[in-house]
Amino acid sequence: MTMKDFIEQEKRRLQEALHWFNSRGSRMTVRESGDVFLNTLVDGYTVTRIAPHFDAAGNHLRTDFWLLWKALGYDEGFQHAHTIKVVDVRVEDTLTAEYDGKEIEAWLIVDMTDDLGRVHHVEMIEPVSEPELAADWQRWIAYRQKNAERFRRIDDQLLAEHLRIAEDWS
Amino acid sequence: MKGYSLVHDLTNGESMTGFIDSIMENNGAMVSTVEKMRMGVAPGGMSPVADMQTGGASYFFTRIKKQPASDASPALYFKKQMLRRMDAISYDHDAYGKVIDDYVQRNRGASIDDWKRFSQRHGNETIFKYSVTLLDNIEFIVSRSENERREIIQSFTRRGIKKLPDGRKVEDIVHTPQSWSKRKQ
Repeated sequence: MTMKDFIEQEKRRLQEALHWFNSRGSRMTVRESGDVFLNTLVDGYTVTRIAPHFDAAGNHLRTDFWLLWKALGYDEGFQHAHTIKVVDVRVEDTLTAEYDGKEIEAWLIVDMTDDLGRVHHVEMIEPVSEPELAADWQRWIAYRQKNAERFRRIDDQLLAEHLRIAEDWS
Repeated sequence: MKGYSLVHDLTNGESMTGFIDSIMENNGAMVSTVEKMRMGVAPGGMSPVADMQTGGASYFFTRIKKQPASDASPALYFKKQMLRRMDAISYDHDAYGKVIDDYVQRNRGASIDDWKRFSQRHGNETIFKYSVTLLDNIEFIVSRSENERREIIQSFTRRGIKKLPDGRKVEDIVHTPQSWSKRKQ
């Protein structure tokens, strides 16, 4: 396997792990030095770049990755879309999902720590125990679908900008 | 800091002309989320809540960027002199607009060297409390096309604005990516 193939496979694996968050919606809290300073619903996550780490023998140890996440209401301004560099992942729970005709274990609850030490705790919205959040999510999805062409333009623009942010990150 | 600007990208999917029109009709200022709510401008879909908790909802967001030699991206380019404002807060990273606790003291850039260094990270963040007036502070507007450029100029002239308060003609500050390299500095 070439390095390019490995990077594509690893990027795909990480993107697949985000399946439930992207298809059912998620809520995120961000804490720094133990204090939660942000609590929001998230539209979706896109892995834009990865940086795999290997030991001296060439064994894959872990993968850092750059993640674009967009809060609900991100069409209100560019400041609601963010790129973080994730340097540590702790998965608390997963659920089997069908993805491209195969079974995968996608994250349900995860802690992602970025290079600034901020811990992004993400949980899939649970419609039974969190009906209000699920209703917000459904309203948002309906709004997006109603304005599909506008969101396609916004998403293309944001992705191009955040790919540049990830690529320029030293 | 010659050749640097504070850039505000439009990501609301609207045309630049529609955006400029709406700014001119709403007291000529770029405003924060909180100011929009105060003015009764409802969000189209959902109101983002994250920046309410960080304090960022009271601020207008920009990024420090070195102006490219050619093909500038469509956006609003504000004058770097705004960095002198007492309420300007610059971070070298995407801080989610955090202005609470001692975050500002610990992370704010305060010198020309800081700001130049911040500009090298595309995710840098410079925020201004409540609002930024367009006519006083705009350096350049880059439109997506020549057609849009003409419409933006008309948006100003329709309101009797042919020159900005700094004396520059409106047609000299509105560009397309292609005409950017011919701009008057």
